[in-house]
Amino acid sequence: MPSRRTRPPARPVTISLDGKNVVVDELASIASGLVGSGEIFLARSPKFHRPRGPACLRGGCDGCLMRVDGVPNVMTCLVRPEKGTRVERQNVILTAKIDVLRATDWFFPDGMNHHEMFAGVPGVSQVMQAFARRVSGLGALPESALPPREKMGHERCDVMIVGGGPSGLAAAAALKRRGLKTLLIDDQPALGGSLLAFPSGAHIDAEIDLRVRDAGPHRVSSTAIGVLEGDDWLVDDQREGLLRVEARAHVIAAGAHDPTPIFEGNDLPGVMSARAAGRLLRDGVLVGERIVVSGKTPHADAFAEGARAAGAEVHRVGEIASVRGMSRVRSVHLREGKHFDADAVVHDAPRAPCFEVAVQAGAQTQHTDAGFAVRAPARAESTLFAIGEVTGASFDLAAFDAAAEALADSIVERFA
Amino acid sequence: MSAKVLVCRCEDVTLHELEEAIGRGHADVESLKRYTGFGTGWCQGKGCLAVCARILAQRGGDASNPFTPRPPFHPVTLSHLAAIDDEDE
Repeated sequence: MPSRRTRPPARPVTISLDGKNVVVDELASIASGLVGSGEIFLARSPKFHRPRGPACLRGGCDGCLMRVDGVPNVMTCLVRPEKGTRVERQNVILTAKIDVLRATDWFFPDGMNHHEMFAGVPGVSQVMQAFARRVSGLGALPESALPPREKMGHERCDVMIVGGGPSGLAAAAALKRRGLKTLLIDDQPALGGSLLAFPSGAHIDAEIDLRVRDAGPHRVSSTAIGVLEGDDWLVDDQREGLLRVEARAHVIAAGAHDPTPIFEGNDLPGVMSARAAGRLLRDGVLVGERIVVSGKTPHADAFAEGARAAGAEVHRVGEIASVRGMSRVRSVHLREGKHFDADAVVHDAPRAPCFEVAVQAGAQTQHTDAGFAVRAPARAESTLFAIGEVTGASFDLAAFDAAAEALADSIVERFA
Repeated sequence: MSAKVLVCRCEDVTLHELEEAIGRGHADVESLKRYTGFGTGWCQGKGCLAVCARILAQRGGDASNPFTPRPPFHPVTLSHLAAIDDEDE
């Protein structure tokens, strides 16, 4: 078991993984609990059936998709366990860890080119299509249909803030202080965003508590899934269902997606972002005993320090050439020729702004090496604003706080 | 495990495939996406778009515009979608 708990669960609860009992923490996500119990290989990819593990732990990847209580494709990083929750690995033929379809990975060493593979050969293409439909895809249908929700919720506010990380919290607090009615939504089960990825320490807890208290009305586990029309946005609350939110202005503080590192074996279970590994450590879960950390960022630094304090052997490295292992990380090979035996690779680099909903709402983007940064419309009458990492800014609390004050002033001015 | 560099985990798209597609003249993000299928899986580009655009730009392509993300921006169950009202108010 390369991954383990650093302390017993705060609120232990027994769930099952593929029929076997596992004790996890009720206060942390299912994925986090499983990694803490030594299970890091949770899913398989749709085409090559390559082993996958959590890579972001914030609802932005495919690494923790599992069948939960008979429902397929649940992002287990966003769901907390209850007593008796039934979790199963999906997408497998035979048993979870010996999947015969793994062979596809070896048959196609460079990848599958659908445009040419077996195309135009009479008979063969039909057979191959039928085969491909059977082996590819994610999960199987639910045991029973989920009952349809009858009614959509409705909320009204002056300003809706999308994202409950440090910049969204600061924006909400600044607007609240100016007497505006705000509603902040965040897709994670707890507010704090990137602050939650700093592996604990009383000062971080206090910082988050303070910021959450000042931020006012909020909804967690709620995602802005689209703009309806005019000032109406559609929000999906995991527990309560869909919600139409009407606001006079919108602040996009959606943060940024974790980067995808480029090296051989970059999808192996055990390769994850510094924010993911930091979140785990905060839950009392250490991702490995021997950990290679690449990147010099606040989150990579904080994780390396926390992991060492928890007893792990940590190597800070430069450019990684390849990561090897069959179903999880076993060794890491550097460009400079050195290699290490390791259980985990934790990486960080400039992150990719979450521009999706902002663009639908009318924002522009600007391409940088890190991704597509949001540029809110410059028109004087625009009621769309952006703050924090979504604008391409790097993680900097003082800068976010200052930007929040300026942003709140411009919104007050816009409403005047 | 076979030695692959994955640029898109959800759809198992490799760096090799991406570079081959660029070599065939898919020189902007939208065209590259349509040919290789990156960004069309579970996460809808949250993990792969930035890295594919960067590689395209490094190889001389035009990465000035992303592909167009379409709502819903996060998976929603049909059970939740059933509650949408389409009445005019």
